[in-house]
Amino acid sequence: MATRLPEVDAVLLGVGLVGTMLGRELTRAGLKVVGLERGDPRSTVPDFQSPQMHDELRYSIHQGLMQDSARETVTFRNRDSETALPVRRFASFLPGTGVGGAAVHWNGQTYRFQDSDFRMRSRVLERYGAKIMGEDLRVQDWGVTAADLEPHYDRFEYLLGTSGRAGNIGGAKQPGGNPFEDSRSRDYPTPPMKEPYGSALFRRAAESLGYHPFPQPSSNLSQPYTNPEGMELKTCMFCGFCERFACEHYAKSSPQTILLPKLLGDKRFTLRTRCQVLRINLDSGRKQATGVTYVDGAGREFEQPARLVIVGMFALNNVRMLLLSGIGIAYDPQTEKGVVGRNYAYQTVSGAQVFFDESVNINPYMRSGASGTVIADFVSDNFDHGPLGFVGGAFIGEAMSHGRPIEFHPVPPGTPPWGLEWKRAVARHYNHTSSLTVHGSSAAVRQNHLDLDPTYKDAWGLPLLRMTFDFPDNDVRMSAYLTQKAQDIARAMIGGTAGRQVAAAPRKGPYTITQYQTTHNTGGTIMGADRSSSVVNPYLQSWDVHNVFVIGASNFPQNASYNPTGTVGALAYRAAEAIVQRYLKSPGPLVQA
Amino acid sequence: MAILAQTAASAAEQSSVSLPPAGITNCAACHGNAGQGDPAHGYPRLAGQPREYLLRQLAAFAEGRRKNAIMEPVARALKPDQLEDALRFAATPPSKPPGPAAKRDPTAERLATVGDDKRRIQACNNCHGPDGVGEGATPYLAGQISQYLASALASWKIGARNTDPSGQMPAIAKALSDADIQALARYYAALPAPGTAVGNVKPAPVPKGNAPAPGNSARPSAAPKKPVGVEQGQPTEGSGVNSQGGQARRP
Repeated sequence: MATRLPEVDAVLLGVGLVGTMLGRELTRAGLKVVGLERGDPRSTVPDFQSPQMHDELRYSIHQGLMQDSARETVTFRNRDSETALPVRRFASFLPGTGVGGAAVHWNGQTYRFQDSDFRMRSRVLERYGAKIMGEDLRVQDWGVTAADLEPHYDRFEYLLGTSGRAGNIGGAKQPGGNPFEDSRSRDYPTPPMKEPYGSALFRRAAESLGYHPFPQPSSNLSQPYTNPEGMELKTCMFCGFCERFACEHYAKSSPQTILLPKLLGDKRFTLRTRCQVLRINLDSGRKQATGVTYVDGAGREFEQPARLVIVGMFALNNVRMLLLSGIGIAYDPQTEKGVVGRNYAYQTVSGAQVFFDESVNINPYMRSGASGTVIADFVSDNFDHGPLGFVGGAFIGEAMSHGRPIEFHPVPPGTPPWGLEWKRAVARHYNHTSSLTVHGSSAAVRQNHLDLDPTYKDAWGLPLLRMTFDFPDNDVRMSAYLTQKAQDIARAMIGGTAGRQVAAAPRKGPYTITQYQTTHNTGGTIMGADRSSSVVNPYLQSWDVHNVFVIGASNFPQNASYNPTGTVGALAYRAAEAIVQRYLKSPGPLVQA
Repeated sequence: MAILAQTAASAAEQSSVSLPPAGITNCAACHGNAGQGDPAHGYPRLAGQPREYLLRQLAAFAEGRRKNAIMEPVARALKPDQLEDALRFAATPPSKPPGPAAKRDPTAERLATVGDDKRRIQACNNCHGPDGVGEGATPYLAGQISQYLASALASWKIGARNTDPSGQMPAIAKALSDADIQALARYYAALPAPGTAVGNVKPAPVPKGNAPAPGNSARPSAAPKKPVGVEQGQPTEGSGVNSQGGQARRP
């Protein structure tokens, strides 16, 4: 029997990036807020300090900061005709857990999506006609524009202190920045990161082919910075232990460094860790949430009544929470009825490796999570898709994040996979290899979706989320074309010098969950202006239960070419503004369906 | 500041370096015949300090980014060959450990190894290495002259030292109280300088092991196809030996 607690104004499901941001905005508006986090509390000191934090085995291989798959996992299959099996060990993607969420172990790549991404369906139809969509593509418009989000992107970047070089300020192109970006109101808060040598070689090669390289925007900072919340961040030391690790130097923008201490210092906020939310409770008419039910670390069940529910968990868990709570109708890929779980998308990642001779020292260990140089010439709709027969794109760049001993063993094709020859090849190539990333978009298709597994349950007896996913033909075609472009740049990097070679491979199916690709899982609670094809409205408010807001990459109708965090942050600030300025004054649907 | 010919001569004997010509301060005069530093005057220990660090410091003294009445003119006057001599001098392996270890101050030990979240100070050892042994551009702190460490932190704090492009050291020093600085200086001074630890063991040679003789291993006759791609070289296909997607069978 659950113990009923006193009602609060708002409850946060998850205290990661979104939870911290919403908690801050809501307490500042005078609300009493409880944050429920399933993981542990943690802070830069003492939890993230060296030498422990540089333990590659513990944090990267044994996934020290990630969701425990023995308690909670997903089941997976490539297609509906298969029986999904539980992921016993995360590999393809690594959901984080604990206070600060995935923004503790992220790399800090902080992009803005383009207007052509937010209007993807309209734009593709306008420019290419319906034929390019084929039968299965279900790409949609987001219900917002880049102009709608600009002030929120701006606010988010200044919260993080993002280091970058603007390409377009108020419509005026800026030299050295991304010429394809939509107009921004001002420059980045801090200048770009130092350019690593391999990135400089990429830049020269890309320029020689007529492309437009620019420094990757990084929320590992290039210099000390004090954000508008008064939080002081320090400079990245290029330690090479960023993604999958937490920052020991106060240099990576994470809730702990940018905001959380302010929130924890607010008497209106209460943080409860080790609290697993089982469901959002609804009133008898199922039109309003009354709060949540959760189990604490001692196994005790509580009901936490709340007038406002903010769902800010990892994207996949956002979808599962709505399904477990019966909010919105579950998607059925056969009839295409229902919306919760539709348009699950991912990221289509491939790459090229550049093997130099021993005169070129890449020093891969001396990298930062988001240092590097990239091009946007093949992002989104920045190039003509007409003759190509696919939609979407990719950024291509030299943005290596580490040269860690267990994980980074570059060897050219043809090298034996073990033994003396392999060891010799690793020693020969370790410091003389540069990796290019092709970070491709992911189109939504009818058949890729998320629902509740009929068989497997978590440690609390609740159905696991079931993932049905394979790479759409559209994305396989895209990857083939864009990986070739990366290979061309790689060839230009090595020039005609003997003893150098390039290896590249496009992304192909079937999708497997046993090799790491990216943790950019998107969709399932998608946003849109039309409630028949979306779960939340453009303010991320549930169409069905108006006091539930769902925020995260689960809102993306399909995934774009860039890393998602910048857009998640901008969407979160936009939702917070709508809640504080409009919803609290007059609770109810912010958009009439 | 006097340059004592006698000291210079004995330094030359010990470190086998040519002497700087008259008029340029001899390193050993202040830093000790073996680069061991001078606790009485607070001159730092140089023996075994990383070359890259020393080069940067000499450049900073010469350019005035690091203020010091003695070292600025010395560094400005150094010619390239003298610079090499100076670096060779500092590369002299340390000869003897510092005095007996003092009782560890818990506040200093915590700052050195863990940091302080309220003041957003990370552990000193994050960059200066476990037990402050230093590496590359980051100097060792262990076994350093206490008075020097305190004055160095004070210089960071007031901006008399401007040699850290990251801005980490000024920010950290500003967040430290004078009492913290004194405690940290004593803490690190009491640790054994690199190379002087008890035992001073060299790493054991790596055994040859039982690697199979060439041609005798069970190596596959043809290298399996290993496509490259993401996460710096991981495969991009799901159809390889690692593939283990959803399977069309009942569990």
